[in-house]
Amino acid sequence: MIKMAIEVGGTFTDLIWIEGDHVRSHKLPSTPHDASIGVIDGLSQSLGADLPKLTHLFHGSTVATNAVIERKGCRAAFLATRGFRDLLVLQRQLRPNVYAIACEKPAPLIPLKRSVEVTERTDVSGQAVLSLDEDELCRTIDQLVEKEQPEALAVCLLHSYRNPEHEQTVRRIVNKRYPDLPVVLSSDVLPTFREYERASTTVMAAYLVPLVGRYLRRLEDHLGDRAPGSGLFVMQSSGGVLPSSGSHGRGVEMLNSGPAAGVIGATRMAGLIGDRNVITLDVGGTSADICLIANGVPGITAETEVDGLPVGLPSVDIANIGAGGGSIGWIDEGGMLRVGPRSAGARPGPACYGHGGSAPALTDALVRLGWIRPHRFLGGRMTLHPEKSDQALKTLAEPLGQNIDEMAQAMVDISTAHISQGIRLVSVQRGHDPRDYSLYGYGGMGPMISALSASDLKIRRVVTPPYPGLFSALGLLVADVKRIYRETRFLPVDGESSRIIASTFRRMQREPETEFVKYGYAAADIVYEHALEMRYAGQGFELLATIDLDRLDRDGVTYLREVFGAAHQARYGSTSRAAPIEIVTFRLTAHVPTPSAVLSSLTRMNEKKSEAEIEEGQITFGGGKIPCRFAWRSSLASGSVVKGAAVIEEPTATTFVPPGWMVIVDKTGALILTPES
Amino acid sequence: MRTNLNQATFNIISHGLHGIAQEMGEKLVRSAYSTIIREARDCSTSFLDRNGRIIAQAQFCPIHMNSFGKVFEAFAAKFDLSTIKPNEGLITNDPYHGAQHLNDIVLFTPVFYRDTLLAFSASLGHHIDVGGGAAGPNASATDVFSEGLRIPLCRFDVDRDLGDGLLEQFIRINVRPPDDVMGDIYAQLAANRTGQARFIEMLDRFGEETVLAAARDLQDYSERLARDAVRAIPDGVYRAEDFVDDNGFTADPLRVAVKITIDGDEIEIDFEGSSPQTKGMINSPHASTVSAAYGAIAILLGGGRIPVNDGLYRPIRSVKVPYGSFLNPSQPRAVRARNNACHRVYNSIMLAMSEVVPSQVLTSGHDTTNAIGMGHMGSDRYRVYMEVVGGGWGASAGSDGADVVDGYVGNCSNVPVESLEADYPFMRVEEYALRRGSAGAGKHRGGLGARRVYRIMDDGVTFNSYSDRFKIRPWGLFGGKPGANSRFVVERDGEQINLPSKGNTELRRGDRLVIETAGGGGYGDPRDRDPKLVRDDLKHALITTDDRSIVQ
Repeated sequence: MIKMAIEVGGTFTDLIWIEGDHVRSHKLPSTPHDASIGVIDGLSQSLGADLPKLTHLFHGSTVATNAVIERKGCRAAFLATRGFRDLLVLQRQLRPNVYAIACEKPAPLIPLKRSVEVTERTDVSGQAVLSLDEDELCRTIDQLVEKEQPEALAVCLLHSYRNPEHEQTVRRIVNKRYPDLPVVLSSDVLPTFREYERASTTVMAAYLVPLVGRYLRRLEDHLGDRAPGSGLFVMQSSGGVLPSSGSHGRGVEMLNSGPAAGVIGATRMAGLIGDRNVITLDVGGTSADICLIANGVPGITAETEVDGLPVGLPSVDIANIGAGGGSIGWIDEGGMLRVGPRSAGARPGPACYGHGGSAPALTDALVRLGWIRPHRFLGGRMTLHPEKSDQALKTLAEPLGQNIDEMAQAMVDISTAHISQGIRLVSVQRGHDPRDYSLYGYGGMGPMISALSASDLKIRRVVTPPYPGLFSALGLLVADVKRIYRETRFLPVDGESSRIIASTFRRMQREPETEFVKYGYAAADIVYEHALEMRYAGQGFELLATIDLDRLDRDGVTYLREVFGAAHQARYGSTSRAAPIEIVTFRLTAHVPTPSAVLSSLTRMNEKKSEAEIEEGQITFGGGKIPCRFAWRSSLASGSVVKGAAVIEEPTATTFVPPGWMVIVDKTGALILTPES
Repeated sequence: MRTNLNQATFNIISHGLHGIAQEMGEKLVRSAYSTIIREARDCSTSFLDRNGRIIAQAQFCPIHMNSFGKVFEAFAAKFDLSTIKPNEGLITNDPYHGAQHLNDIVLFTPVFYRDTLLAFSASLGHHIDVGGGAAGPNASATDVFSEGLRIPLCRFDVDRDLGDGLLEQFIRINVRPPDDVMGDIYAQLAANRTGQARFIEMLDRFGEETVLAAARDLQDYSERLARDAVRAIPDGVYRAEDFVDDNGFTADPLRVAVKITIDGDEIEIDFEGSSPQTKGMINSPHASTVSAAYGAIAILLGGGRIPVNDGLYRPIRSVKVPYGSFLNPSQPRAVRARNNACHRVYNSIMLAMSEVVPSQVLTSGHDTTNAIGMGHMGSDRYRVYMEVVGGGWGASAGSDGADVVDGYVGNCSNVPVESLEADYPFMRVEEYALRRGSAGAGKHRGGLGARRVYRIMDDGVTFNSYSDRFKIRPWGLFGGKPGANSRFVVERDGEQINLPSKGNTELRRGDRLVIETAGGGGYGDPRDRDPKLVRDDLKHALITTDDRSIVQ
């Protein structure tokens, strides 16, 4: 019995699998033109003849995100309420930069020539005030199909979040005439108010339907032949996985699922290590992903963007900062030293890779400072050229009249500051004090920067979990089967609320019950969480509060005011005793927890340790040379202590322990860094 | 760099300061009550040193942003700010003392560090209503008193004067939706306090001396880039003029005349020859005119690459605005619709500079704040709606104008129709679309205007608006054609009633109110346009076959 996770990233495809007590991993280059090739190759390279033993394959992929960024989705069409077909061009009317001459809005996924409209209207209360003109619809769709041969149809009618009838009628009619044309309804994808955001999300869903469907079918077919009876599960941006059968029409829910998987891995790992409040820092080659986990629960947001286009689906709330190992240092026209957001990527990569890159990247700075040792990079699998780093850094140092070491340190400091600013964004700006959190660094570069950033923010506990370079893949193995359901209804908080809330959630529960049974789970396996998105009547943004239905039943309005007041206090620093509160959106989360045995095999300290491999050496830090210990991670037994400055090396990442900090190896194998005093 | 900061520290503090202003702005938008701030983002935030020089500001509405320094000067002239206490604040909306129009309430909060005054955090919110003769712009206003409550330059104590105190109670009773207005003032206060807290964190981390030195260096950095950009423009005197349609009472256009002198790395701007102050709400207070001139220069010099702070404006040696002209009126002229004149300030500067730096200018876009307001006295409460409907952006040497965006002076977003209909049950939106055929043809075409149709669902609704470019079309450059005019129409019982650009109109249940905004002017000869782009625009029906006849 083998459980495997495959995470397709922009550069590498990571595999990690568990058989009995054994955990193994593998890495191969991604195949961007057709990601399924890398997956299928990875499967045969890693499992070979054991492939039939595979029972579960958990899969995360950038295939959806890339299709949007590179505009490689299908020829989708858009149907709107009469009078609103230009919605995708109008957007929210904002100019991205108020001082720029040329102002360009993000290019919509569907051009105007494939945007059509139909006579109908539902009002804000859900009443149909103008019935759907079915004859007109047929004519419009016939014409559209004849002229444009769309591959999917996105439908977003006004106020359909309140009453989906017209959208459903559209689907029925279109299905009948064109059974092969997928019809994606906004009331299914995102039944919440604000028409542009809902339309944008629906369009993205339609845009991805054929591509994601083909991709998943290819994998399903492959598994069906080689590992009959195995299940394919797909990572979702919400942080859960779903069986692939539930994902075909829902590629939009796979957007940004890689970083989400990492966060889920961190959440589980933190639970085992004993941290409830965690900030995750996932730093790779081009960017850093940061997320806040409060009380064991990662933040979820319904306001994200892909390439400037809004996606309103609940997603793990991750801030993305343009800082990574490949971030390039440069001097702007005013003479200011900058780092990123441009990255050397994997090809040509930092100058020290020797692949022809001549611009100095953060990794070059780290090589120069001696924090990365050329012969130990990627466990020695790749030879670095430190002289090329020096050459590249010199191109910056000379015009600024500084020496190479100063320049390297300045690049590290600036990158650290970017990342600290990103951490502030998800913590301080949202009412959380980072000092109450542990910082989990992973990704190739996260453990290098995490303690430095922690010093900036006065965070006193930094963790490098096991498998830091494979963390998104690891997260896949431990993610729950999960889906979030939402429904907008504008309701005042009053004496009726308890009753309405209870009955609304009861009704909403029918959907997961049907859906999860299709996946082979019993209704009794499903765990529910209830939450409300609320605001003071008149405000424009909602705040999420988790609702305990028993307490609601007991304390009613008092309870609702209390939980909302607490959320408002935390976010905005104020609360009102009297202002009326409005419920805007109901949120029901259904999930089936993963067995915890998986996690414990991932954190078992594998072999008995031989002698710890520690070398004494020297690095450059803060402008001078200081002594430094270099340790090979897998040689450190649980309970080992190493004082900084130290560098802990392993095949996929490097942990930097600054002077004044120390590291203890936890029983789970995690490295725990704390200030010495 | 003047001081001896290291490269990393300078970079980190510079970005940190900008981050503070931006976070203040987001906080304001997030916690505001009125649709005009929370959805349309009609507000701005800034962070100033203790002498009122701008250190950093967020990218919101340009017309606000360049004016915090002006209003600070007025406070400093009236009060001895060295005696200000931590629990105090400064508030005003007085157009005759550095502020803009009455709806824009400016709030300053002093920032103390170790008992010393170091800085001010500031925010400006466009308030949905400040009383006055109409629930929205009062087109019949002939003085500032009929435009609403005037808050003088006030130094107040937050604990004493808000809540049950005099300031809050006074404001509450004088405005139509008091909860919205006070809710937004509290949001401004929360934003300022956020700025204060973040700045103190920064001081704790880097030390006072280093932060203040970096702030000064950042201003010098902007100044250096700005002076380089001015030096690149050939010396000379450049003139142009543009016009506001009318004052809402008489048909005469109002001239904005500008003379720009480029002398080495410095600029002088002079509005001599502009029309005298006039009846109605279209006069522009001095601070607004200067702010518009600064904003135009910022676009011209940097297009967003120069950090916006005091240093960016140092090469501007002077901005002369004749007192008594409609760009610098005497008290107590009405000023609510000052953005019309402000847009012409931008336009005339662009036009004047087009001969020497053709690649750094824009043709005229719709360039108007199409302030669409409605008021309705329902049985439960007074509802006031205000939204800025965008139009076509000007074209430039490098690109077509964007379709449907706010004009130069603002960057207001639209309000989701689904949110609007929930908040304002007296209306329903029947159409919100690109206004096809409204763009001026050119090698690069102007942006398209918008078309929006409201169905009025109840009697007793007043339509209160101001706009412009109803008569004078947005001009093109170098052979580009002008864009279409804006127009407002009421369709009632099969009849089309044309409305003026500035007016208050009673609407009836069943009326259809049609708003059509102007398209931008084209840039360059339409015959030089890439034929593929013409075919694309035709395919999407964005241009009409009439336009095509121009290019073939």
